[in-house]
Amino acid sequence: MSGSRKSPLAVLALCAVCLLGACGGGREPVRIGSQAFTEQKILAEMMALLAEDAGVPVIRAIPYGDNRRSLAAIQVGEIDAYPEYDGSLFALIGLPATATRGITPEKTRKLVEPLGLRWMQPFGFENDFVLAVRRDFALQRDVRTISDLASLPEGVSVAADSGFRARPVDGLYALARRYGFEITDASVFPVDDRMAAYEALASRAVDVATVFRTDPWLGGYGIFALEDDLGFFPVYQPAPLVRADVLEAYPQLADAWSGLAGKIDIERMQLLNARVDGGGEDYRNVARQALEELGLLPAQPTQEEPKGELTLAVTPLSDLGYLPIRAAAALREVMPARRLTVRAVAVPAEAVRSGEARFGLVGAEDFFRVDETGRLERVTDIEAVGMVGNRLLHVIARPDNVDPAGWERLAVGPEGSGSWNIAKIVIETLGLEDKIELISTADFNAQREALDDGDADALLVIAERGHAGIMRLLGDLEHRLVDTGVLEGDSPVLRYPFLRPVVIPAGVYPGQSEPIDTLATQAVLASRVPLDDDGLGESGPGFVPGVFTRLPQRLPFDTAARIRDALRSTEAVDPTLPASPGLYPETPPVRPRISVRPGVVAMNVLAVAFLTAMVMLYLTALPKNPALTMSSAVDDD
Amino acid sequence: MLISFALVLGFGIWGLVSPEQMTAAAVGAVNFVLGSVGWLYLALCSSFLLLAGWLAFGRYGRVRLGPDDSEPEFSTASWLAMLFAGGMGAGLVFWGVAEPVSHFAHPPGGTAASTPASARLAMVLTNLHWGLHAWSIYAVCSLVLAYFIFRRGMPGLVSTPIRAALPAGPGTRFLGFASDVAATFAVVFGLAGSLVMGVLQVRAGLGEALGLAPTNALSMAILALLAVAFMLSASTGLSKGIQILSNINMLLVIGLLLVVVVFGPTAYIMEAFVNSLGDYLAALPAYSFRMLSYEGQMDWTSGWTLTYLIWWIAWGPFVGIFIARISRGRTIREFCIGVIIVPTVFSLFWFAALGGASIWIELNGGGGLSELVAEDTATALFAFLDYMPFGAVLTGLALILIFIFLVTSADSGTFVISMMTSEGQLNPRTSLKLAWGTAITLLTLAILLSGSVEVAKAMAIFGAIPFTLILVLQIVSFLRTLRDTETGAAGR
Repeated sequence: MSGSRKSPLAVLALCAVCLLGACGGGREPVRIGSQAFTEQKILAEMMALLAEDAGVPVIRAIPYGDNRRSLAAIQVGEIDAYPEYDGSLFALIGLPATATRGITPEKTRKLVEPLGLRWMQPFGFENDFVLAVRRDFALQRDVRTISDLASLPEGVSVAADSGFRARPVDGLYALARRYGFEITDASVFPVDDRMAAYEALASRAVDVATVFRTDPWLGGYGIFALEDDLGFFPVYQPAPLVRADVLEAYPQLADAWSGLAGKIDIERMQLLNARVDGGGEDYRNVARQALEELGLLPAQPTQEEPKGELTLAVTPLSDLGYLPIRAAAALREVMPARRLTVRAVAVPAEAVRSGEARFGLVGAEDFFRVDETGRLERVTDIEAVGMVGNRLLHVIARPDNVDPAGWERLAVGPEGSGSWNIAKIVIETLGLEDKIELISTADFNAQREALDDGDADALLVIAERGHAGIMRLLGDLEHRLVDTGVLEGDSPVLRYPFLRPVVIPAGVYPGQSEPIDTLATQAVLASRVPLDDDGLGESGPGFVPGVFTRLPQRLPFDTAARIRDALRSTEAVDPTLPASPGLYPETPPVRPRISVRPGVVAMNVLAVAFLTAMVMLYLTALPKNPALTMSSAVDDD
Repeated sequence: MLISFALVLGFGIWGLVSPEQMTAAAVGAVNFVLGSVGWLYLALCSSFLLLAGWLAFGRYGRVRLGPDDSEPEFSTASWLAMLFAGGMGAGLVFWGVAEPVSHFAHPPGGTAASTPASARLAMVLTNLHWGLHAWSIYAVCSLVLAYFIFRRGMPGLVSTPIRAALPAGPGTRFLGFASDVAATFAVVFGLAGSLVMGVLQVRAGLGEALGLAPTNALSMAILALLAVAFMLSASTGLSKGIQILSNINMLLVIGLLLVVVVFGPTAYIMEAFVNSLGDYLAALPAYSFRMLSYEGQMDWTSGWTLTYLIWWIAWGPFVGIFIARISRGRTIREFCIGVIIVPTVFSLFWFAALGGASIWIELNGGGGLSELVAEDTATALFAFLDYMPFGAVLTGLALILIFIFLVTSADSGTFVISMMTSEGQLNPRTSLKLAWGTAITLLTLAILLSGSVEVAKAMAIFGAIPFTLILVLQIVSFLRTLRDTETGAAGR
């Protein structure tokens, strides 16, 4: 039936299929796994790229699971290779403490050989576990080494990743027992959320956090590492761990991976981690580019811009904060294949609205407009797809000018930004328009300059508690955080639902001896809601959605739910904000009650009548038509 | 002819002068019909499938479309290539990746997203939309005409079955006249609307592949090239231009498929094909009549399934007449197998290859196609092709394929309109074809310049509503004629 033209091609196709099947049959592709955090993903991707370059077929299982699971999986052949740390291997296998002293690649090789595994040459850096503290905590409590923690009678609160807390040999509790310090409270963060530890430290939620030596933030934020003075931790040098039978099947793998040996020092690794965790780049691009820089992969001069760039708009101030990093991390987790760009714009909500950015880190205040009569209007053209955190109103003045009564000029962000909006609302509500002038500035630095130069009496920023930029402003320059008294009594400011009264406890900021009353607003990830809703779908043979609507579509509900989960925020989106229905799937949708719609009834009656008429027509006999018997052309009109 | 031309002109001017109003009216009408009697469309289209099955394997299967001793005009391979190229637009290329991935990531009816279960469902739904239903709509549209044209020697007009099988009189004459006008109208606007979207598809493809900015100048350049190509093809007649282009098109499709199958996850694709065969056939009885009313997802049903059906019906007049025109001398059974089963099996394989490989990428490879699809279908296709070796070559191939699909749609459309406006002549004058080709090009240009693609969409689909009624009337006429004049023993 299917013509002569197709069959030779079909036969050809069949031959090609058979051939491929035959040569691929004996050798399974190599499954490369990794743990869930960025460094592991980069290293595993490097291994995969080099293997592919050497002509070895690869299946990526990146990320695969924690190292306990990975080690079990590689022994049974569930995965064939993954990057592992030698110290972790010794700890996982549970050797006595003496065995872990002076680990050498040779020792490690002997350790894994009986398991049918091969330990390749290390990448060239160590990523140790580190106990990190805030500088102010260290100064106040006089803590320099881990031993010093034991001298604190009240104990310490610790944030640790789940894997580290559970490790029996070189984990959190083993460490506390070894040094004899008291853990009053241990909070857990996911191992792939490296930022969480720094966030917990910076916001003073904990005293101590366990972090990695290669985290890009160590040393920043006024956070530094305590010395492991008893030498509790072994060294943790990563290298490819691979099944021996896989190396036999693909002898070129050893050569391919030995090219990496000693090539990655700790600075390089920190930089690569920073590009992914801080800069929002895709770990696959980062891994490839690193290999090209090292000369291990041929550079691709015609490297195209990756398809499907994704933009997250944040306020310029956000550079220094952890909310954007948290938001970016969640987006990367949900949309791993997209290249995420974090772009600072004056008003992120506008960028989302115009389609310039797919997502924005937006304050609750951006969802409202206040008209001249003071009536509040909620916008519906953007919606929250996840709660990221809370931002607080910080009012900062020079130490010689802390009385709000004497202020005339207030420096805020650019027009339309959160601080500008809120300052305007508060001033208008309190009837201070004539007294206080708003000075809009381009960014936080310009705001600071205005304050320093005396162009403004105070500045107002909206930022997360413990924001590094504000820390610096208050610490180095001795500016003061001021309680403006806007919340005294039944403040009319509180009639705006997106402003919630909060207290900044004493001691959060340098030089802050009193608790300070202020206002908080939620920061959420927002995306656009197209208003023109067309019942007719955009499917169809001749239809390509993206061509017609250059603007992005509404975020699918299940994607919103996945972003919410990836954000790992314990709180939900403020109920006053328009939120994606995907966030609250358990909420039953409002169903219309049965009502008579005459148009619909008429259409249905007509449809049934038409069908009936057609059936009746069929049942009647064909009229005598000469054309049907004569087989000649009929008359046309 | 004059009246259809006046109507086309009037409606076209309305669309250009007040695009919002025209769009609102046309899209509103389609939305209203889908919202109130969507069930009718699903039921009708599924009955077309049943009807086609009965015609093929029932007592009239051996009735020949032509005198009992006639021979097919085109070789079977060319016939299949031509009807496939005419019936499926450039959409097949884009949706090959986008649709399975889209259902996989956002399955309807409470299936968990991005799971093996949703992968299975995705393939079933995609095939439901592009498979037997689509082709039986075309087959039915086409068969009713082919029978009267070739077996009864009547003119190639939409009204022919109606005039032949209803009692002669002013009522029938009016009905016939109205049908012809409505069909011309549907074809002209359906074609112009589709061409606008096709030009934009090519433009988007060029943007993706070469980074060309999406400007009006680029659209016009594409349209100019398209106009030259399709008018050349249409004016050289069926046996030259259209046949040659369709054959090239088919070879390109097969070439693209081969590359994906050979360099993609080969065994996985073949497994997907076998899976699809079984899953699709097993799900067919239920899904042919399934609307997601209980799930509260009728918007999904109308946004996907019904929109597809409406699209196929909107294309029905011109694809139908075109297929009829090239099917002289085949028996009804041969016709149904050739028009329904062969293309369906082919598109099953097409989606198994492109969709199966995409799902492999989502489940086992790097992933990330589903987010792209949610935002831009065109991007997803080219991102997918980047996974293959010679990605750049494949992208170029895909673009050429899309372009040829456009040309074949446009030339067969022009051919059909010329047939309809020349009292049903089987080989209309070249001057008439050129005149209609120019008119359609100008209309396309005007819509393109107006910048309102919503107008194009509205125009492309709107004709489907009146045509559905005409189609049912045609079918009843055809069945009455069969019952009362054919013995069913012909050719036995």
